Amino acid sequence: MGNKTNLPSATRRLFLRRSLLALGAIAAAPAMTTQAIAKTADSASALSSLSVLSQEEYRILTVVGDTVVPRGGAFNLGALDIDLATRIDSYLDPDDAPMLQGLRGALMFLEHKAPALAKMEGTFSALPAPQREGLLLALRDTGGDATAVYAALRGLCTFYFYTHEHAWPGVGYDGPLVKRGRPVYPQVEA
Amino acid sequence: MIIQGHEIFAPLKLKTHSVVVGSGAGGGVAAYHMAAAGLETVVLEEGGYFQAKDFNQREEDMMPALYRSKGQQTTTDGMIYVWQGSTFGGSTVINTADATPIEAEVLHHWQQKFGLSELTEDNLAASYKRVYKMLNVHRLEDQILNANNKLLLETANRLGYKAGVFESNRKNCVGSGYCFQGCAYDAKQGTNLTYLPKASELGARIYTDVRVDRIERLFGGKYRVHATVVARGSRKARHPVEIDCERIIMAAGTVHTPAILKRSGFDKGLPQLGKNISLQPQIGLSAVMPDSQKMTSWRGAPQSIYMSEFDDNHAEHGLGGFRMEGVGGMVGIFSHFGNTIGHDHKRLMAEYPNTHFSALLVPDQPSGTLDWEWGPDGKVKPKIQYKLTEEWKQRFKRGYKTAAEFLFEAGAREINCNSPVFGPITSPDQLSRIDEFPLEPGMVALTSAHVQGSCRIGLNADVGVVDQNLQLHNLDNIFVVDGSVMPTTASTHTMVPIMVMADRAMHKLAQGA
Ligand SMILES: Cc1cc2nc3c(=O)[nH]c(=O)nc-3n(C[C@H](O)[C@H](O)[C@H](O)COP(=O)(O)OP(=O)(O)OC[C@H]3O[C@@H](n4cnc5c(N)ncnc54)[C@H](O)[C@@H]3O)c2cc1C
Ligand code: SF4
Repeated sequence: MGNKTNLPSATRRLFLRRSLLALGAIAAAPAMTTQAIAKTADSASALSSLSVLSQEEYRILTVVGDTVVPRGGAFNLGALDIDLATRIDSYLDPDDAPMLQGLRGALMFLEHKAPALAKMEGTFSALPAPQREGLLLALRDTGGDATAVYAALRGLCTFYFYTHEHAWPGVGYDGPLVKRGRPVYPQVEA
Repeated sequence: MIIQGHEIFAPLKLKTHSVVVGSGAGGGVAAYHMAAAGLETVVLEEGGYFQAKDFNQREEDMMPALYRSKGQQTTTDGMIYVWQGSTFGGSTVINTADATPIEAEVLHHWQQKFGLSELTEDNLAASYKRVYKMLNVHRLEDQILNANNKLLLETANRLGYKAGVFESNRKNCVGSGYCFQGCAYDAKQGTNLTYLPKASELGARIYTDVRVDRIERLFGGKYRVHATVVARGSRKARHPVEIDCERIIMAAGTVHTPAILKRSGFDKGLPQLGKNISLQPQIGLSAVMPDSQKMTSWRGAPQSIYMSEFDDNHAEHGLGGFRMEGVGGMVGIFSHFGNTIGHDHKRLMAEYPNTHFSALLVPDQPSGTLDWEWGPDGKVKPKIQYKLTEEWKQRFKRGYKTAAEFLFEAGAREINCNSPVFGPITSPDQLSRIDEFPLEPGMVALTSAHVQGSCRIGLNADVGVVDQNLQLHNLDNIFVVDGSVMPTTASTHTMVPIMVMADRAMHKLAQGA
């Protein structure tokens, strides 16, 4: 993962074609500016204390979250409102090396390789919002590793967004009947 | 007595008569019978001790606490999530408490194909009686059936299809809807509330947070169990444990029981060990209903009604066909359904209250194999190799089409599933798209809650791992009583079948028969 040569050539051609179509179709749509996103991410990260993700990974994941669950639309709340990347970070297992490797690979592939495959200049997080969404959907339709990146990042974002209590009013879910924190794990030396 | 891992601060050496490995459906039953027979019994459970007070009805917290690999255990190709509990009470803590017997056709199939003449309905009758009494099995009360499940019954009735309400092992269920996250009301009668406390009262010592690594043969037909106290959560090794005993009863589940046997070197002479896995894969479906038709799928007994018109159970193949069952109670996992992101996905999620969720269950024939690697700390990394057969794929597609037609008949506006690529079906004239459904790794997430096989019963070691009394073919006094013994998938739900088989074997053993 993280290297465009990992994509089989037929898939890559298909990817390029679909990516360009998808990106072309949304090019004229209004966009949240790159600076606005960077600003949100920076201010959130200043407040957050990350336990697993690096600042760079956090920044990219923040933009991915904003693409998967943007503000507005069917309900107002978006990923940026709950600092989704910090929430995800708090659930990542620092000892789960394969999972972290996969996540890091997916983020780096998306940020640095995916736009180039679609002949876009720059990085994923620097694209306007509609193009970011278009790029993710193009990955979905590509197959192979690209689809895996789409599925993994989408799944991570929606799972931790919709299990957050602030998301529940927007989807009409009245939440658990017992109000309790996370279960307590006894602290012992390992 | 229940001793939790964090109460142990030094290496442990014990002697006992019987060691039970795992505390789920099979292990709970075994522990109870051994203790009831007055035998000194130790139960070793790798998972933690959690109780009703710990269950907070949230997936993101309870799956890491109660599920094997936090609910992320999959087949090696990543296509099928293999859900198993890993906690005091095993999978009986996180299941939806549907109690179904071994299908009569399955028993006939086992008799015809495998020659298992002792496993007849008559020979199992006394075990059903004991298990049903212990678990309080009864038909689910009407007041805890929700609209999400009733939709199946009402639509089936309209179409003249077979459907029904499950029997269940609950007591005073308030219908909270969170069975998958452990029952915060002590209503679900898993082994954590039935067999294990009873075994403990009868003198069994139950250790949680203790992982069994391997078994050593000692002189005189005895055994030494090598185990490790692990830290709850991280499962990092803390202290070694050694237990000398006369008898070992394996109940670590289909994936882990054969791993322990293999690591102990007991696979020699057991060519079927780790083979013949059935997963009974299922796919989650969601159907957006009209706004006025509230489903509120997260309240009420989550999986209470089935539509069984297309079951195809026969002595020649056991379970076949496909069926639908209602499911609910998992906003996080259900957010994976559909293939969209952004505002389209938000629109779909905003329909959550009027979205129906069900599972399409498609029984399989045993076709998987297990393999394992062990880390330096003795922790096993199972590899579940499983390939969907062509016959299964065709049956799946037939089932998906039938389920979609059924849901449109029920009033659905849009049907999605747990695939990140397969788009919504919005009218019956799009059903032919299902012919192209991408049953490929990365394209769909199937789920298995009923992994079976790997130590199947057989008349001899060439064809099976254990005999009809569930004893290993190649060693005395080692028994296997979990889901791994099933020659083929036993029923649409596996808890009661496992308990009944375990009860028969362990009751006989305890009586000295
Ligand atoms: C989400 C879910 C829903 C389900 N719903 C239903 C339902 O409604 N009805 C139904 O009939 N069935 C249901 N099932 C299936 C049923 O619960 C299981 O088939 C059954 O509990 C399996 O029993 P078992 O004894 O094989 O293993 P389990 O009950 O899984 O217990 C195995 C135990 O062994 C422990 N273990 C593993 N390795 C070791 C080791 N090395 N050392 C010590 N301990 C170890 C594990 O931690 C675990 O606790 C469901 C299963 C799941 C996962
Ligand atoms: S529906 Fe709620 S109360 Fe009933 S068994 Fe399930 S978790 Fe317990």
